[in-house]
Amino acid sequence: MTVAEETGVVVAPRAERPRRTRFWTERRSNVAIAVLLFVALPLLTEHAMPKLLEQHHYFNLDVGVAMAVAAISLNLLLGYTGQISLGHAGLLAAGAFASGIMTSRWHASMVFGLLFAMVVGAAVAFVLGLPALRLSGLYLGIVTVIFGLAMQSSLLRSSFLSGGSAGVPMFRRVWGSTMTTDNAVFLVVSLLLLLGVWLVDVNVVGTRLGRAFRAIRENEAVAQAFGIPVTRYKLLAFTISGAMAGLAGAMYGHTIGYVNNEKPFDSTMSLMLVIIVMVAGAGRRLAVVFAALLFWLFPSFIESLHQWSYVVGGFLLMATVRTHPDGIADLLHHRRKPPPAPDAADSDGDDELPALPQLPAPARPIEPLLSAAADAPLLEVSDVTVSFGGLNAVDHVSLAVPTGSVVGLIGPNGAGKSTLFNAISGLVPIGQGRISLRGKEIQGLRCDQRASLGIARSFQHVGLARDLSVRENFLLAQHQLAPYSDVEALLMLPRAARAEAEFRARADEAIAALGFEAMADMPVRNLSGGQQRIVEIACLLVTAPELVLLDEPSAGMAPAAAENLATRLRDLRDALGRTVLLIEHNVPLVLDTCDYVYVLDAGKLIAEGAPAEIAANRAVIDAYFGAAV
Amino acid sequence: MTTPALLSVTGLRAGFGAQTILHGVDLDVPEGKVVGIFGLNGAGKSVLLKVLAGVVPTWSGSVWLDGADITGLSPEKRVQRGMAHVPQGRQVFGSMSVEQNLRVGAWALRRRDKSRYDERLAQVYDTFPRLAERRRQPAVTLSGGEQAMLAVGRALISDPKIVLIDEPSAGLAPAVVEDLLSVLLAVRSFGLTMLLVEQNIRFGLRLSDSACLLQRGRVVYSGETSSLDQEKLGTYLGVGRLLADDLSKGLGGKPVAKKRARARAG
Repeated sequence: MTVAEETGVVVAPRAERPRRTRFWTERRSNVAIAVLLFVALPLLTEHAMPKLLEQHHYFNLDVGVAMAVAAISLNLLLGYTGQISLGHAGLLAAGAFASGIMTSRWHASMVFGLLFAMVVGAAVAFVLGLPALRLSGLYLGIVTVIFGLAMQSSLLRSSFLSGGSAGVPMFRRVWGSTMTTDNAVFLVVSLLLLLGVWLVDVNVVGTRLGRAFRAIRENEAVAQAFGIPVTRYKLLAFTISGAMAGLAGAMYGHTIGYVNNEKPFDSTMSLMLVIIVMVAGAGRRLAVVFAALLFWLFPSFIESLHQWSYVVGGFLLMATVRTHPDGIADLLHHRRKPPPAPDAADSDGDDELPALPQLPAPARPIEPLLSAAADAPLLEVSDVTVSFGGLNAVDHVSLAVPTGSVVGLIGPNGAGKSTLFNAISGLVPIGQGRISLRGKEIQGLRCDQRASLGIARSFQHVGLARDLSVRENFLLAQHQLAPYSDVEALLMLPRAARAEAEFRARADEAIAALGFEAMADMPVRNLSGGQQRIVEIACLLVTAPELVLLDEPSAGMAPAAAENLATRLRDLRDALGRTVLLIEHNVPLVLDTCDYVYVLDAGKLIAEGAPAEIAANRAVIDAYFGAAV
Repeated sequence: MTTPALLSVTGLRAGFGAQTILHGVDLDVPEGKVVGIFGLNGAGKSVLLKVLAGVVPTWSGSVWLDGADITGLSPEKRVQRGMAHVPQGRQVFGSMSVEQNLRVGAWALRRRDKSRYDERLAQVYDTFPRLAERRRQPAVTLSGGEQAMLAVGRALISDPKIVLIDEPSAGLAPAVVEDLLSVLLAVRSFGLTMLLVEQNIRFGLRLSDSACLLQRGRVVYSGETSSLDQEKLGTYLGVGRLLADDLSKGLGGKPVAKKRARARAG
């Protein structure tokens, strides 16, 4: 079938051109910008071009670069992961003091000072991240403000740590008693460090780390269902961000040569960082770095601006949030796109048939599970009860889903079907009973742990990360399959790079099968409701997990897509030996695809049997089908 | 068209960002008729309703309601002019009671004529007795079918000239879909004008007088529902094996799966 060549959907005017392989992928341009920036700028230093700038100009540039690192750090936490930190200066302070103590008291090289700063920053951020596991939004904001103030007013004032209010001198010790006092030389060092942080950040975005962070920002339940351990990744985001912040603090400290508990890491710096990230565009690295440089350089070059910088910053924040909540970068990004061309778009062929979207065939790279004992139940739910405030939403339900079958779960709205799905996938705790997968009890496991055992699900209200693109959602769906560790991801070691390339290829295949090429890089929320549903189901087909729970997959699908869904469900079962548990109101679909059907009403099982028996069952007709059958 | 249409849409274009979704849609909804919009996922059905409701801006073209140009009006102004919208996914206010939800729906009415609120409320409770039983309950505790009825009731209470309904049957159990269908058929018999988007073809065809098939943001067919045969449904909507038998109860014609295959090959 030639469906992949047609585009069966509303498309942007330019989209129907043949797809060229783009050399300038986002990742490549990021790296190129970084390299250009960091090769060109050191040439401006005093050695290459003597007397180009005064020492105090280099001093200001050093500070600006340090703050750019700090902005990348906050951007990772706030922009990607959606965790607010209003006390980020506290992390910078921790790093600065760590490096200060290392270089002044212990007479170590600045290299060790900077490393130590990253370790201390990461450790402090890890602790700061613990409350974030339970809190969010405003409450997390308050906790981080208190952290910033506490760092400033008590911890850093202790004479043991920081020499009291006298502070800590920050030596730029190269080795032994060799120091570098030249701000231009230090600018080269700073820029190299910024390059390093930049590349790590690029790697975060390009791997499962960044996708996990952004999925968490949007919807933790959906992230868990994709198999992402939310707790772990939140702490990881805090830790990576903390290491970067510690480094930034140390860079700042070594620039000014001396830090104490009041200067420069106060709460206004924390606020300024938040303003920079929000105004420039949360999640946009380049914009955030430029904004940080501008914010710190302008006031320092134009002295009279200094006292007004917070007023201007505050006003900018209000204006941005009001008019362009995604920041200035987003505004520029939209400008670059071509304006809608009325006639070009209207003239393309009306007579040709619309392509019917084809769900991708279940993933080939995954080996069939047919070898599993075909009649042993894969999933067994025994006597499970879920109650909400005294009401039993699921009431002593037992069911068995044999390996390699499609089992239907039907019943009136509010019968407890979705609640049972939540119980099986681990989103709600069960009051009593047992849930076992391949004979192993799983009711004590977290949602993401169950996902890693091979349970995947769709949601009644589409379970995708809506701010992420279609392609990114396909990549997110493959989170479980990533064979690389977090460290490998941060450094983009070969194994991570290979796996990512493979994921991308698989995502491209799925997108081509759907004929969604034109929409591949659009945020999912721009798709119609039915298209979102199709993408969600396609994500499950791409990974072909062992047990697929589908909650009303055909709701909102056009008849064509629903028919295609029926085919794919059979493929999952017959070609790959996968197992499907299906909640569905589309009666023809249930009767056509299911091997066995359970009927739930008011939390209780009222019938079970082969589809034909169920369709003829008087009780089921009364409770569910009505006149429809 | 002999009688002027209540709602008349000409050359409507709209979209998001650089993406054009509606490429010049023409549509007439005569007074007292129900027009159903059908099409594949992403054809622009919901966007069309949102543009008509004023939630998504119009790029070009015009929308006339009852002889007045409403193209540039805000959503609330359109409601005051007599256009009600039942959005996709029902969108009832979960924490508010049933009656509070209805009160919100009557916002436009109360500004026009306070005394009619009680009368309209009684009529809605009369049409949907289930809502009367549950008037004090938070909407979130209602079943899916009851929420659908609440969403429709909330639109009807403002005594609209036309109701735009987006997939009322989605996610509802078959028996409830039947209930909803009979309620909407009753409402239709009172002479209410409706513009309906449905994926449940059986439901949609039984409710609408005429059908409008949308394909990639353009109208490719519009006419009486009774003149829609299975070939058209197969060609434009991909109605195939699963639904064909089901639909053949109500429509004449042959199975469509083969037609589709032939049309594709040609």
